[in-house]
Amino acid sequence: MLTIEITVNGTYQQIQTAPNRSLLDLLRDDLGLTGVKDACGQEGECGACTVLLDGKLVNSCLVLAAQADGREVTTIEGLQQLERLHPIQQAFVEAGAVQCGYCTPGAILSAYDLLMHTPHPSDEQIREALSGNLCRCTGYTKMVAAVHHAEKELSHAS
Amino acid sequence: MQEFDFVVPKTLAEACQMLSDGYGRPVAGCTDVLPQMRHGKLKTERLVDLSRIKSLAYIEHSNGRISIGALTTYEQMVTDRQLHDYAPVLAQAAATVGCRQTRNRGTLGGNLGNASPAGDTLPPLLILNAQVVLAGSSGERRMAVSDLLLAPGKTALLPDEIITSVGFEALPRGMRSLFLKLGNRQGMAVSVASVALALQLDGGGPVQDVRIALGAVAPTAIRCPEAEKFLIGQQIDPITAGAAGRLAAQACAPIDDVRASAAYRRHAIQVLVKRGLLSLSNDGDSHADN
Ligand SMILES: Cc1cc2nc3c(=O)[nH]c(=O)nc-3n(C[C@H](O)[C@H](O)[C@H](O)COP(=O)(O)OP(=O)(O)OC[C@H]3O[C@@H](n4cnc5c(N)ncnc54)[C@H](O)[C@@H]3O)c2cc1C
Ligand code: FES
Ligand code: FES
Repeated sequence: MLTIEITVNGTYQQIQTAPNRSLLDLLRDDLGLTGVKDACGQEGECGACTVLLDGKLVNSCLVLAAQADGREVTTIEGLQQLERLHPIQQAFVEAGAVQCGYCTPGAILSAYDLLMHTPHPSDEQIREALSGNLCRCTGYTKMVAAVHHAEKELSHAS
Repeated sequence: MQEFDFVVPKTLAEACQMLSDGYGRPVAGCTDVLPQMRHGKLKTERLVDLSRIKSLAYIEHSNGRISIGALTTYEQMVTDRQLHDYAPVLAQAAATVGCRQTRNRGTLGGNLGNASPAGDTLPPLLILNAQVVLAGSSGERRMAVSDLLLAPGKTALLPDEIITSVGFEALPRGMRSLFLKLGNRQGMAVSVASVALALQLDGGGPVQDVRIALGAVAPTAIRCPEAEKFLIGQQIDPITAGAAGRLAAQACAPIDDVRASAAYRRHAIQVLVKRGLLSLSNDGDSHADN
């Protein structure tokens, strides 16, 4: 077993983990953060396990838990501010961009990452940003609308 | 997943030491290694995590020579201005890799170490005549990328060797370059066929210099000397570009697999080479007009 130090959604913790566990295993199974999902058997193909690692968007199934030692992780649970949904989460709800919901946490984190770097993205840029998040329900149109909606909310807020 | 030890060297020397008994495997972004281990295609007793050796992530440019540290990610290559100026074909290839999640983790060293025939940086590195620098317990050595890549998943690396950097001369002024890739799905697509091209025309007229490399259509990425030789001194038009495409298609040794048939791959190469040459020569015209 290895002991790692990791800050998850702002909380510093020391955790024991086996070397062959992924960051996804650690977050979902050990820490109970079920917003981090596995929709492809940890192949790196679906993006449902997307998190921010030191502020960078990654698939947590392709990171070993031990590689997150000393780093900061943000999951969908960390985007929510107290009891209030983050404006991007709210926009997804209002635009009807959530159907089965499996892809939603990852897609919202990808949208968050996009809007941090590109506050006013084109449709094309939004589609590119969501290209690592497989959605078999929505057809993406409503997700694109949701990101535009969130973009307006966020620019009002700032 | 199988069990293994996980060790984290802080320096290159420590990493070589940890690999010296031949039972370890270096890893960087793990984007190839973890899926391969889950499938049982890769077995190892010890993973040696290079990702904390910060001195191996850089892009440097001096006197027309570019050097890229092995731990440099695709995202770093995509956002590096110098790379877009001096070797646009490599920056373009980096931008086509996977999705942002993969580009943030995957490294240049990992693409070389994985030696997939479909590795997207490999055709660009071949037309840049790139060399790798390797470090091992018995010292440093250099070799051409074309000598490093032996077969699918197989490199000339010794078990205790690490790729530390990749170096090449910037493309000459006036030489245009392009990377084209055909995949099954944007965002995750492993190339079904890819082409890296660089073209220099003599005053907008005949071909002065041309370099062509292909990906995903032979056991390793390959250069196409036949098509290159044929084009020297020719005007690029649909006929000569098409003939070069056919020569390139003859040079490949594609396979049938889940992603595409060999015949489709061969046809795709012919089309990509022709299209790429025409597009590069048209660019030349429009610039000459300005
Ligand atoms: C969803 C997804 C999409 C992808 N899309 C693409 C794509 O479009 N194009 C493409 O080319 N690839 C793609 N890949 C494959 C992969 O991301 C790349 O090959 C990447 O460059 C691997 O880098 P890494 O740092 O993650 O390598 P790792 O997985 O850490 O290592 C890969 C191999 O290289 C060796 N290695 C790593 N670093 C070194 C070093 N410094 N010295 C010696 N050996 C080393 C390892 O031992 C291992 O054998 C994709 C992968 C995924 C999961
Ligand atoms: S679980 Fe599918 S990409 Fe990680
Ligand atoms: S809402 Fe079902 S997969 Fe996207």
